[in-house]
Amino acid sequence: MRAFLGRIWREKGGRTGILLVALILCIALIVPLLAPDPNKIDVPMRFLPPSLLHPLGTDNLGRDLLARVAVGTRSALWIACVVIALSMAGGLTLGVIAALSGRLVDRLVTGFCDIVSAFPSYILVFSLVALYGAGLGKLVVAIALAFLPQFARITRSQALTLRHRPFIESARLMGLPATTIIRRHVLPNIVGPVIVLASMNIPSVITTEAAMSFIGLGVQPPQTSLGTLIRDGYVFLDQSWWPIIGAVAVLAIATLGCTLLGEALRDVVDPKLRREP
Amino acid sequence: MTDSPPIALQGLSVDFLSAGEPPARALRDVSLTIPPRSIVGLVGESGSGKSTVAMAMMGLLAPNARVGAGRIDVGARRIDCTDGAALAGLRGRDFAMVFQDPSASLNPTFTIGAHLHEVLRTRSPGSDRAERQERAIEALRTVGIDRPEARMRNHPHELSGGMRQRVVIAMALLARPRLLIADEPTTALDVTVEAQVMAEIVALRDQIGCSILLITHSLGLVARYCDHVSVIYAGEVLEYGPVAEVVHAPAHPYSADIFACDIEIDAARAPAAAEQRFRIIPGNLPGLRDLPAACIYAPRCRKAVPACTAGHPALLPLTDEPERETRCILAR
Amino acid sequence: MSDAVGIIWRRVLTGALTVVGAITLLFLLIQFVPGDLASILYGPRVTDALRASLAERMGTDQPLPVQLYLFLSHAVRGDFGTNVISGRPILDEILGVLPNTLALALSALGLSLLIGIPLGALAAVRPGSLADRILGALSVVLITTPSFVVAILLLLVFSLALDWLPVAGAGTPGDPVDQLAHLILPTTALAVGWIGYLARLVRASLLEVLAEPHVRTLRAYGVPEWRVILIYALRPALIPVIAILGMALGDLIGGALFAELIFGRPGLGTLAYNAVVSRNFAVVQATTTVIVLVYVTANIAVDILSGAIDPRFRRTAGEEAR
Repeated sequence: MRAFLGRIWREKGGRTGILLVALILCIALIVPLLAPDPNKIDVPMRFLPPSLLHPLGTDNLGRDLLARVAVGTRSALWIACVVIALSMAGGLTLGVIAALSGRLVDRLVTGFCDIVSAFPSYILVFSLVALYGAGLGKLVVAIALAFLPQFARITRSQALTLRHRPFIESARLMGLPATTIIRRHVLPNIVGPVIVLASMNIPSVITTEAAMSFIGLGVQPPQTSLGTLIRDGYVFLDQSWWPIIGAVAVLAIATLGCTLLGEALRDVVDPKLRREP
Repeated sequence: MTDSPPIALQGLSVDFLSAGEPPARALRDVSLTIPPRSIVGLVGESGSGKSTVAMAMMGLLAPNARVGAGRIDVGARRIDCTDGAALAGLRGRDFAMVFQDPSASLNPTFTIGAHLHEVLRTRSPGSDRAERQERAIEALRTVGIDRPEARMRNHPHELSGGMRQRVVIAMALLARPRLLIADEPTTALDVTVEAQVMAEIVALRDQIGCSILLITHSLGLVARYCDHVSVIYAGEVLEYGPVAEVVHAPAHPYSADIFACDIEIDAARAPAAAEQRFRIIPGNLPGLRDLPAACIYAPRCRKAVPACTAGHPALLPLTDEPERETRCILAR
Repeated sequence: MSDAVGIIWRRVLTGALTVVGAITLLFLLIQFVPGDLASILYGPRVTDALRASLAERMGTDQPLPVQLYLFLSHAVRGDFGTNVISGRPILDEILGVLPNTLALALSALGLSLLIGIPLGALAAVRPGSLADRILGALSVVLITTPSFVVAILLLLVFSLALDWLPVAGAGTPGDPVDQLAHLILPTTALAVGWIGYLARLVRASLLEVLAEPHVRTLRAYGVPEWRVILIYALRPALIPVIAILGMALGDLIGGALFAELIFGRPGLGTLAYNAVVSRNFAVVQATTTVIVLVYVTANIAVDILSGAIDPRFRRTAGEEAR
């Protein structure tokens, strides 16, 4: 693991990526332990510029912005992880099924992926939320669905190339059950590109969630995420710029750091994969 | 036709730079004489620098290459090899080049016709489209491509490797250069196609009166097609002379060794060697960053004597055969 | 040549099938929502009369396959019913605002191509130079900032702070200059991310092409450098750009929805959002269908364009000549 991180550190953008992501993780995990209560309302102290007491200032209800941004970041990261995990799980399953089953099943799965991909991701999430109502759980499922076809496709193509490899054939001939073959032989070889895809999609997931929460169709108050914070700031733009800047800055840093890290990860993992037979 | 002066390359030196290391001295004082209407072979193993010579003459070296010195005499002009702009003026007019890999030499998104038109645009700036079209079709016909009018509209991937190489030769035909540099033109082709393509290249010489610099590692090609041959090793020319003399009575131990390495062994000349299938030259190519002031081949040479490492030998004519040159102090 | 027509036809058919599939997906999704169809589509404004007319149109009392068929046949004809709030046919409302959204998305696409491609080409022609490194750093920043954030920032700076450009709306119809003024900020906001992405893509692609042997061949024949780069190297280099155009348009349409909300432009985005807020799902469903149709059509067009530029993808019947 340490050697792995070392390789990414040496990669072009990887260093910046690691630093930025570390910064974001600090904000998300450590700051809440040190900062004042994000929900403490203190109306006379509203819209304060940054100070020692309130490093990012205060919002329209006098709440400390740094604390709120920290909590929002934690939500955003947590949601992104769950979404990616769900999307990956669903995509992996569908992809493996498609690759290892008959032509009909394969056609069905591919067709399903094509149909889901026919919706621009924002539109898909939008429609699902419109139908089923706003809320965190539904948002998570909606975004996961939007990103699912990518995982399914990459899994399917990797599994298809593996399918005809001799070691799979011999495993089949030995009578190993399909699930064992999948678990022991197929999955380890697929893991590489899938991880890369996951890491490259994290910034998009974060942005999509932020965008949906921004227009009020995502995370609902009293829960916070970066998107809701930006919205709060946007609504009171004419009174103070501070509320919006903190959340926007963190969002930009988070997406930038994750993108750089994802690309460095891809450069480290990809060439390594190419060396394997 | 009056005998035009030979094209001469004198004293070409090229270094390759890389960060944090001393420069790799790829070519050192390389000289070539290419008489008019002759085919000169430049033969050497991989890494000897033969392609670098061609690239330097065309001004197409990589960005990390630095030309230290060198000049080219073409007709009445003398061009400095460090002068990129002057070299650019030679391309497509005095010099033309045929590359090794025909499948990659042509732009896949453009038609054959587009390539030929572009060559003509450079060569004959005043021509109009109809004229260029006619000349292009004629060129294709000349290099043995059938249905040339249809072929003009094809894309490279629709033609076989041999046909693509003929197209490149047709481009050379249209450019009417004084010198055609053919860099391993048949290496990527089937043996059966090789003879056809070489025939076209030689035919070029007859049709437009150019000279040809044939760069190759195939001694068979050299022996069959070339009039003169220059042997290059690790960036230095070790021997130069008429082909028959160099092949049958080499004036440098390296030439002798490589001609013995070739599978087609002249049984009459070396009956003992004919028994062995292969002869391997022991040792490796020298590194180019740290060269001693000695004969470059001395570490691997069977005939080396202490004098060989005393100083760097010059390329000088043989005492009794002045049209031949060698760097070996023992052979002169 | 007839082969090309065959390929186009096949792509159109697959596309049509995908659209049908998408509409079916929407239909199926509706089934899983609790409540009867009328309440879902019309929200709290549902009345018995509406229920009855809906039952007649959509066959809510009939088995599912029949419903699906009715659903599809209405959608295909563009009959999305009437907007229960405004009383106007939904199709008319959509067609009324569709040009705004398309104008925004296409302008953003055009702007990205116009600026992104030359920037990427410039960087590729002088790799390692100061300009190249600045572009590299800048492009990453441009890509990662979400477009709605850029929209907010632009709004802050240019409208609220500097008051150079109008804040809201699409401008008075019939006044192109005014409409253009209203288009500038949203277009820029959307284009920024894609400019960064395209610049990087073109840079990488052009660098690869410039290293390929066919470029060397042309140089060896004395073709002037500007022709080599702008005509002969750029065409193959643009192939990956064309390939992502479809995806770009989809992303831009999604982003356009947000830009419309932030800048108060009437368009599909504001239409759909207001419908969501007022629980008027019939409108949302219609909007989604139209967007999917536009997206799939754009992708088909992009595929055809790809085939036109890179002949290797055209499966011609030409046999290899010997």
